[in-house]
Amino acid sequence: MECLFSGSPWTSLDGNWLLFCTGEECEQSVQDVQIQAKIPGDLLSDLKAAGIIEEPLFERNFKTMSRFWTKGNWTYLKHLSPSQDEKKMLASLVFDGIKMGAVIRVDGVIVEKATDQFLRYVIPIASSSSIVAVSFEQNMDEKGRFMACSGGWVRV
Amino acid sequence: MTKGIWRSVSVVYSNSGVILLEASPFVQLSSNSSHFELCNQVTAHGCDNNWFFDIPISLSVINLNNRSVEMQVSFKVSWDASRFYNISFTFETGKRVYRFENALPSVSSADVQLWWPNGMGDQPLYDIFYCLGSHCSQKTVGFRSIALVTGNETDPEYVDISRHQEGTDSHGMYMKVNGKVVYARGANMIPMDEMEGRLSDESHEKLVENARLANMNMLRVWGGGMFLPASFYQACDRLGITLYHDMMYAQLGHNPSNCSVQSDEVEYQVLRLAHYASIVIWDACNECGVAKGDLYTDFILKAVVQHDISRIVWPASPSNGWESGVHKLTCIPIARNVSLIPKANGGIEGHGPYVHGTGFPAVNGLDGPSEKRYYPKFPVELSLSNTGPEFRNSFQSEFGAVTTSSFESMSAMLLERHYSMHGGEKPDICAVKGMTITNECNGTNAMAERNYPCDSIIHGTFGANINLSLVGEKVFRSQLYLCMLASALAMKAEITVQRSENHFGALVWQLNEIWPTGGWGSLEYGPFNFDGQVAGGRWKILHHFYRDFLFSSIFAACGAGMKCFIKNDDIQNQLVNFQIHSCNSINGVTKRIFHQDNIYIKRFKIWTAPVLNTTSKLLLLSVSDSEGNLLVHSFSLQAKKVVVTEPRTCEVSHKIIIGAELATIQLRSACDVLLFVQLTTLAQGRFSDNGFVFIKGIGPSRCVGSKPLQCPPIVFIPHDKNQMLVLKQTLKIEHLQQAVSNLLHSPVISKT
Repeated sequence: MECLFSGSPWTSLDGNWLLFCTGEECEQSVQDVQIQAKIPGDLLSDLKAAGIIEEPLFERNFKTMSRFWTKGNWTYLKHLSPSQDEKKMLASLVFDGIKMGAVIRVDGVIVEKATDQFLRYVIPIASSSSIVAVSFEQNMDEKGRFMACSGGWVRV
Repeated sequence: MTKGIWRSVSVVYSNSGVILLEASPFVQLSSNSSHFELCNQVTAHGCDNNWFFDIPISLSVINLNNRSVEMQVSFKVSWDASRFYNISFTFETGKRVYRFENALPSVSSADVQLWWPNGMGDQPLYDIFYCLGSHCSQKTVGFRSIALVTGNETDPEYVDISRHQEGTDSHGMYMKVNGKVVYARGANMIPMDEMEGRLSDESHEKLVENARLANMNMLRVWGGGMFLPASFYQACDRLGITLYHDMMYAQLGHNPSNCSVQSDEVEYQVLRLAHYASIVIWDACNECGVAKGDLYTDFILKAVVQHDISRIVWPASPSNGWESGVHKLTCIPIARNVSLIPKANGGIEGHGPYVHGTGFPAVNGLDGPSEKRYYPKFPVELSLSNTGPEFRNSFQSEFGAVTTSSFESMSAMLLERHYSMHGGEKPDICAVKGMTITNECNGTNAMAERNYPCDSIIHGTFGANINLSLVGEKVFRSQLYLCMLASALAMKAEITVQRSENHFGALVWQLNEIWPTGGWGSLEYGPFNFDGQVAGGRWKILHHFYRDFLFSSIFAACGAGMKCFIKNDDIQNQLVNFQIHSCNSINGVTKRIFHQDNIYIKRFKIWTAPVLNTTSKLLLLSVSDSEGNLLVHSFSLQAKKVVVTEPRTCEVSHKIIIGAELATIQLRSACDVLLFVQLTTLAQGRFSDNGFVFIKGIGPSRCVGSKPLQCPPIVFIPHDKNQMLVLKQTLKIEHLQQAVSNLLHSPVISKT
């Protein structure tokens, strides 16, 4: 089949994103700090990789260090750079999975509130869009659509 | 609780504005090949060898235009490479899913090879290639018929009456694949990690491979976990592991809400997973007590069936089945818009029993510091009831026993001063707080956060004189080993009971651990490239027991009163030879006390040996085929406790011989017999044997009765060749006499 696997309009945004904490409640050591995050991934793994927290599974770190990931609003940010041809097309963002409540902004405008860990979010955007930001806002209620199994961890 | 962007992100730029998100082929028996007219090994009723499969395909598409757009969809299939299938279609604005009932012609079973569960045949897979505009991709499918049988289909009259009826029955519960009855054995899969950034394809593939190696043919994807990564389902397809798949709903705050987000979730996941041959059952939730008219049936399963009528639907795990809405002989939905009404009574599927540990305050130790007596079930009281699909039967989709993980796994995440079952410091104060099933612990004890206490299980099995407060590597190794051994013995007793009864499903709670801790899994925490852990999970003794005898097709055991039996859950009738040896657990002397050749056992039937005349507390059993090839080896404990009358260090020396693919391990000890030897290492891989009795001059007990030099040695099977040096540097050996000797409160020899 000639068209097989050719000409896919999909561009992966996996890989490096910027990660930072905003809000007065952020731990002081992470205020005004930008971290390189890995997508797909999770916040604890990114904080560990950046040297901000120690191994979460060691001893009782998942309890004693939880202030790093539970306080403040953590935001993942990615720059888009569509070509001149792509700017003339129609465009959409596709998130295959976001865990816990998050607000998705494109060029500063809220385009979606993700509240379901198991749902794929498909979001039409302007093809000229240049910044995608996903913010895990600490007060957002995700209404229970997250993995129930916690390995015995108390939700903190 | 973690958070993050845990799966891929993409941006799609499209000239046409029509974006293909997902193609979802469903393989289902053609409406011209009704399930109950298939070749049926039970009844041979209405037998028809020529089946046809239909392959309706759903496309998930987003049209970004403000007008309808006509485009061509094209397909090609690997089982008929000479043909293309093209369809012109109009994609509307705002519509998301398009179903093509006849995009591909029906497929005759004569033109493809059937997909079978592990142990019943091969797992051939076929490709469907598809394009929408310039965007092309492929999906892989397998051809199999599936049915969940709840009535007595060995009765031709029942089949005739039921073939046009709805609902399910209460005679029993078993899976049938391609017309053959399946003894489903396996475990409940929980997520491999709380931190999704550590999920890897390698680990999921190894995990499924470990399930297959342990003779498992079914896993249940538990509703308190997650819809799993593609690599997990791909491995299940490739390795013949059928899936009993919950929607992600469970107790305590994880029940559904009637909102579009949740129906969208179901739609997305059912269409995402549509093509996997391994998924055979969709059910709504874990232990949620589905009732008529509730959200589980009228919202969640309604959304499932709207998209998928190729699979069995089941109210919940466990449940009683359906009053109406499914074909009576298969449990396949009768239509997409069907009204599913659950049954109030039935008793064909169960959860439990669960062996909870007590005696130490911990997050999951609900009984606090007080220790409740635990009484091991061995020697097992056998029912030896009538077996076979013609008799009333049942399916246990959860049961388990608390355990720990190895020293290698747990010590990697602990300070040395906490190397103790009791954490090396004062216990926390733990209590249930609010609507939760876990305790909240106040204090700083690291072991209090590592889930389940094991005190009662260890003391009940090996005697109350075992000290679980000692601190240090040597004693912590012994404590963890005793817990894992006691738990494995508890599960051996429970599964022996089940296999002496008429069960057609045994799904253990649980397959894997989610972090390096005490849990219920037979496989340890298994991320890729992580301190102390083996990718896909290090095998605990229990996992070896599954492979060696608990989940083997031919099962042999002895119970109370020296009653011994063989159960045949193989795919065919068997002619076997059966030997039983007594083994003196102090001097290792073995003596054959029973043998019989040419025992013919029909499928799903039990053969019972004459009552043995022996006082031996340890029996070694082996079953071989008529040519003398070992089919299964096992042991039987004929005492209420595993009391070590002579706890001794019994130092063990070893020699490792590195080969091209494997490392051979030779053991030596001054003692005549080593009980329940455990080998562990930091190397990536697994051992051929664990939890075995080692007899001087013979080797592992599986060699008893075999000809000299014909018994395969103990080996280590590495994930890669670079692991051999790690094995040499880190091999550790535990056994029961040594562990008890290390942990006795006082040097007094127990004579209990």
